[in-house]
Amino acid sequence: MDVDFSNEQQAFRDEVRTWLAENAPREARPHGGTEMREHDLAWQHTQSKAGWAGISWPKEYGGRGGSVLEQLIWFEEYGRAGLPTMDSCFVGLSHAGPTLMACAREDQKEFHLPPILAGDVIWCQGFSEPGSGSDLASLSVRGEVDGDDIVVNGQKIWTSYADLADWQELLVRTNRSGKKHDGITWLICDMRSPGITIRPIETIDGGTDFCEVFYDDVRIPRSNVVGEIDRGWGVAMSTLSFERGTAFTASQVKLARTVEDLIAATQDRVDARGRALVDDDGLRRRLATVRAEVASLRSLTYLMVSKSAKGAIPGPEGSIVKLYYSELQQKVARLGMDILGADSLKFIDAGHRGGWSGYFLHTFSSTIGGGTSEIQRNIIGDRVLGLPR
Amino acid sequence: MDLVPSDDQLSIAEAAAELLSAVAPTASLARRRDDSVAISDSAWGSIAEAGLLGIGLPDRVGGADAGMQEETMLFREVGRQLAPGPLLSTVLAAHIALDSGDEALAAEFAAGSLRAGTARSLQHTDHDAAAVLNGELMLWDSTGSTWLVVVTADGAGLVQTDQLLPLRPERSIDPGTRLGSAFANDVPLSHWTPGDTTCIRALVLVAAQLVGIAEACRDAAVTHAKTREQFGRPIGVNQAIKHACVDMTVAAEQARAQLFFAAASCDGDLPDARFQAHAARVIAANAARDNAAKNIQIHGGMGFTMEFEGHLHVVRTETLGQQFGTNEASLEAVLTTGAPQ
Ligand SMILES: Cc1cc2nc3c(=O)[nH]c(=O)nc-3n(C[C@H](O)[C@H](O)[C@H](O)COP(=O)(O)OP(=O)(O)OC[C@H]3O[C@@H](n4cnc5c(N)ncnc54)[C@H](O)[C@@H]3O)c2cc1C
Repeated sequence: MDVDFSNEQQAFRDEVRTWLAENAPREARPHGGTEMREHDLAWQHTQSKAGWAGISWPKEYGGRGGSVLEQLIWFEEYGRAGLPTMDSCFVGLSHAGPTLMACAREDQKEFHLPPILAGDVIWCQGFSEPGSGSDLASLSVRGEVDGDDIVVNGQKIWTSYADLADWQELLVRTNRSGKKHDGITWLICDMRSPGITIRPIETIDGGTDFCEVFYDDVRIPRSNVVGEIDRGWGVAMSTLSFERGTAFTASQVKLARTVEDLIAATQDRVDARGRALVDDDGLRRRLATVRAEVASLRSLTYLMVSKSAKGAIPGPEGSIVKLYYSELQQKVARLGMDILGADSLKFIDAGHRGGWSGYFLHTFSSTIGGGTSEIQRNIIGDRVLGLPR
Repeated sequence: MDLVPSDDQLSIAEAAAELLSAVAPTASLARRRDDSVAISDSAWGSIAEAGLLGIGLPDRVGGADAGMQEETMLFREVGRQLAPGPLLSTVLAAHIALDSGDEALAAEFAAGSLRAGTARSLQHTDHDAAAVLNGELMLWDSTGSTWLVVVTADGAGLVQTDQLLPLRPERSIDPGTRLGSAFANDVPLSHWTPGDTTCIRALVLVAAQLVGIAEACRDAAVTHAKTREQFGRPIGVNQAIKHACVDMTVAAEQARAQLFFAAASCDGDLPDARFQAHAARVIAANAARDNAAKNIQIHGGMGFTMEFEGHLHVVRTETLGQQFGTNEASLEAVLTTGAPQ
């Protein structure tokens, strides 16, 4: 075991750090709308032109084909630079793109992958429905084959960035006769198709990224099916191992910075009785605990990445990191409310550059999005521990 | 960067586990409960003969020349198997002897021909007075041990057990550890080495045992959740039980990862090794405590019996938790040793 990086890896890190320092967007990320879209795409474009797009994408698809350790280093530096990790390019780069690589036809890959890397298009994920969240496989948006088209009717919900997106990875039910996991089809949906109506939903942190999407006789060419008709569930599950254990690296580095910021914030603050916060034993214990926990989160990531580097295919263990990270983030956010006191109440924005309360409210989503903590616990219990269902 | 144990390291763990379960099985703790020494001479002899005490020592004193990582692999098994007696304190004594230049004594500890227990002062000691023992002391496994180690953040040293007379045995909550008390009046420590090198090693190796305990509890709980049936189905189908098992897994994995990170940081002499060691100690202690409690809960009434091993994890966790500095002290150190790199 060792925790050092080789000279070569260190040089790579220096290169990444310098490049990010010189090229990362200086202006604050806009809150939403087309300005946000333009901002995110421009940043992706900059990364792409300099050869940094798709660090973890294989070379054959225009990526950098970086080793898993390079991925780790890239994401660490990205987090250290304080850059947003879940911007509107995220679904294309980390979900739709990898799914296409794994399951799409050559012509689909040729058409769709380069624009994702280049920062020309935004993708969104149309999986959840009003009646199907955790139980995704119960989804009921209808897709009926009609000649060369599939005609889609129904509603999706919680689709992040649907109003900004060009394309959508869309799951529809094409067959009702068999088991619920059979009969689902994975479609590439052009978000400008006639019959699509999008309504933004305001979230508790003041964001409007979430949308409802309604489909009214939307015609999607059959050639946009990825994989086979009725076999979309397997396609949707194919990307799980793509990040090779690094999925939360940037977020985790940001969380570590946040803890350091909170520790620093206690230095010059006093409580209502005029006592220095830095001498408050209760806060000291909580800060020490989260500092140690954030360190162990990094260790957990390093352990996963070390296994990946040896060729292990990451399985459901990834859920352990997701579960731990999302709950730890909420704990840190709460601690911040106590340290910042009344100052924390002034809502500024969810970007959390300006205000803590935006961040605090934002963290409520981390145990819901991407599969709730309860579902992560089911996955670990069933698939890692082999407990009876 | 690589946190996966090497094949050699895994085989150390495997060999240790096999030997410990053969010569000092958990069931032997109850049998020896009334014996004045927690570990039998024959078990001690076999462990020493297998070279386990000298893993991290140079070969000129009879050691295997390996590092903190290899010691970590050993003590994770010691924790998992709840092996009794002064194993860790004897290993630390060998390091203290070595660091202070007494190679002959180090060799005796490595060979197991001398044993060392632990003494900890129960009163506050000023930094510059740390090399002298004073006041009330708590002793771990002083019976059968010629020497005692004293490990503090200011330095570490040795004292001969018979210098602390009168010793009073205390009934221990842990049948694998003998406790005693004593009173010292200006007893100077020998082999004193200032600084916290030994303290850091102790923290990591305590963390290793606590990780082993956290893992053993998780394994026992998961097995029980799969096999115990109520209402016609295994109890593990219920999320209250399933999710408790998952939380035990998250805690154990997190603690194991941090332990490996700390051990590798110490071996690599990294600038934040001290922080990583304290963090490992804190995380492992929380994992061991939480998992030991959940394991008992998941076992129901049986969990509350002496016959069931679950309580041994609880009492070992507490006994170890006081031996070389407290969890509270490590928490404080996590905050004061500077940001991790
Ligand atoms: C920030 C964010 C972004 C998102 N982005 C997208 C997106 O882009 N595209 C998309 O398709 N979806 C998206 N989602 C939706 C997300 O995937 C769902 O919210 C999530 O899967 C939960 O589904 P639900 O909201 O219907 O809750 P439900 O499934 O109704 O769950 C409600 C509660 O019941 C619990 N529960 C449900 N089933 C079980 C069970 N078997 N055992 C124990 N507890 C259970 C849940 O854990 C939860 O606490 C996003 C969500 C968030 C918060």
